[in-house]
Amino acid sequence: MTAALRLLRIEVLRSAALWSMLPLAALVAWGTTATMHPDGAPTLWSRSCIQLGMLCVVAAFIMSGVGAWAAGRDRRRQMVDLLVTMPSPLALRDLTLWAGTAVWGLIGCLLTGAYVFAVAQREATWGGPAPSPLVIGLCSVLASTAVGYLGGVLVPGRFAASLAAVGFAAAVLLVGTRSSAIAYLSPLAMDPRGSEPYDVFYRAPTLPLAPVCLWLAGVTASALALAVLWRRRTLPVLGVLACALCVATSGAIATMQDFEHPPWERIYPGQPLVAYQPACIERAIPICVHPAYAATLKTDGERIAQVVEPLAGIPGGPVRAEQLPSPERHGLRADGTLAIVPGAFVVPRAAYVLVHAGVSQSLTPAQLAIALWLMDRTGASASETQWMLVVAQAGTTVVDEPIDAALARFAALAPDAQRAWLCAHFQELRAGQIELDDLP
Amino acid sequence: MRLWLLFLRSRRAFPAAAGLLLCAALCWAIGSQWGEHGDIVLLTSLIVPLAAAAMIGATTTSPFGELELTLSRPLGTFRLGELAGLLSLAAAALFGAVATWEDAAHSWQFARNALGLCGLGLLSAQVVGGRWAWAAPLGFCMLALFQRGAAGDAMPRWAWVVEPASRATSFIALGLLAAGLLAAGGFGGRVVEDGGKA
Repeated sequence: MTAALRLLRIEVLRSAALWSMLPLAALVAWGTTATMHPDGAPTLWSRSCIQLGMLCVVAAFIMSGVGAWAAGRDRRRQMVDLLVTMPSPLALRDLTLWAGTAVWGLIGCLLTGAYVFAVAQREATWGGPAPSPLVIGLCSVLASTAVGYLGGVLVPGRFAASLAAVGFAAAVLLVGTRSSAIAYLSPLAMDPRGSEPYDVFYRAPTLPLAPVCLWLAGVTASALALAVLWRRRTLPVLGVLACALCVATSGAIATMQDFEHPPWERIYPGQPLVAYQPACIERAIPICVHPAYAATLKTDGERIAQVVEPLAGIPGGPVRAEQLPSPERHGLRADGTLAIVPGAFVVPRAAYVLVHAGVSQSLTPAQLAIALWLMDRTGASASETQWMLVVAQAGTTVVDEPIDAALARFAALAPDAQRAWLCAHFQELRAGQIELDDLP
Repeated sequence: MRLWLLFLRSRRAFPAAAGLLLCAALCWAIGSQWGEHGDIVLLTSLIVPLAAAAMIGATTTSPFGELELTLSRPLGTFRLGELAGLLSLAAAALFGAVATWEDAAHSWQFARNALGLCGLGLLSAQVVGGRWAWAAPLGFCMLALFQRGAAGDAMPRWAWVVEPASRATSFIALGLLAAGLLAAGGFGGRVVEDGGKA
């Protein structure tokens, strides 16, 4: 036992994978933080943890190549004949070499995990860490190193590492694209694809951690057993391979059965809502968001306040702005609640639903002119204006001159005159009954 | 001529060429079965050129180490000739394989990815050696893929490898290739401690 531990210590300290630890950690850290805030979204624990797990799987692709590289070490240094005289079993040498390689991948992912958790702890305003994606990522690193090691044993040569890495990546990615239960066997099945994958209002589906770990452990043990068996066929190793294959099969079946929903469907309506206390600010009307988006309340809330200010208190106007769970996340409800969606396009979305109550997506010219006027009050950016034009005019991004002229005329009015006109005609405007020439 | 053949054998260029043709065959097979599935086309446009780039990057390693530098002929000629041959084969094979698909618009995208990723691999070979030259293109492709999933329409320019073929992305890929060829032709792959033995 002592000899085995000493050998392990030597393999760990002399492993070529030591040099890959920092680049891997940097890759995973950068990839996770770069994808934590799509479209200006705040930091969410759920997204951060899942992205960390997914990037650990990417690190596993590289560790597969590192494992193949490690498997070819004895041949590269022409030590194969020398090591045949070593008294320890062949399996021990393979195990310690694999472990000494994989441990640096694990350390790299754990270092990144600590960094990402620290960033999320500082920035997230609701929820808590979920370790399951990270655990799956770490198991993927172990499995990929073992599979790569097997590849390096089976196909020695200068192409082994590259083909092992690319082949493992291809297998994991392609399995994950299948529209059947087979997709769950890919560690990337933890990715909640589809629209609104990180809806904070609903309870997130739990990952079947134990079955996935069993499946990946079975793959790891099978790959290592095959690598040892390739060099020398012995009955105990054959027995280990048989057991490993049973474990992998059981894990695979359990994984395919235990996933609650397909990863390509995130169907929330009908799922239990998670209790929360909204974060609110008081302006012309109360503006409330889910506590996970509290960090955006100061900026988005102020801009929503500027949008709704001319409409507050008028018949049919908003009396409250709130972020609501799907399917009610858009629109101006009958009780006067304006449903808002915090993010990069909070202002154009709000302006759109304020001026539009119809079924068709396009806005009338008069509705578009008022929507653009509401957006101009907040200093809307070019991308926000682009969003409005694309949605309102079914793809056309050019503002017609008559609409521009009507917008300029309305903006030139005194605030009292604007409010008076809106008081009198807001509901007709929303119904699409106002023509461009009817605007003052 | 004999020197050329010996050089190519030392770099395992012939197995690499066979591997490139296998990649093209795989590409053709995937296209004939799943050519209309957008996800599979995207992944294939990354993985197959990546495999080609990895194989070409591995051929930059010299089995002779520093001893090769004592050659009386200019090594750069041999290196560039070998790389140019393999790159042309990779681009032409992938272009031709994808051209047989129902939607042949992806042809240049595959060739562009192969050339750009090869350039990235050749550049990283200067730092980490030819046998590790696959790591940087693999990490880059995966980051670009994840960025595409997270960013949606707002793709950053650096993730050119997942975008459809365009003039800008082609320039980026060809620029990387030029830089990689310059580095590999001038310096070859990094000589590792064990003399670069296969």
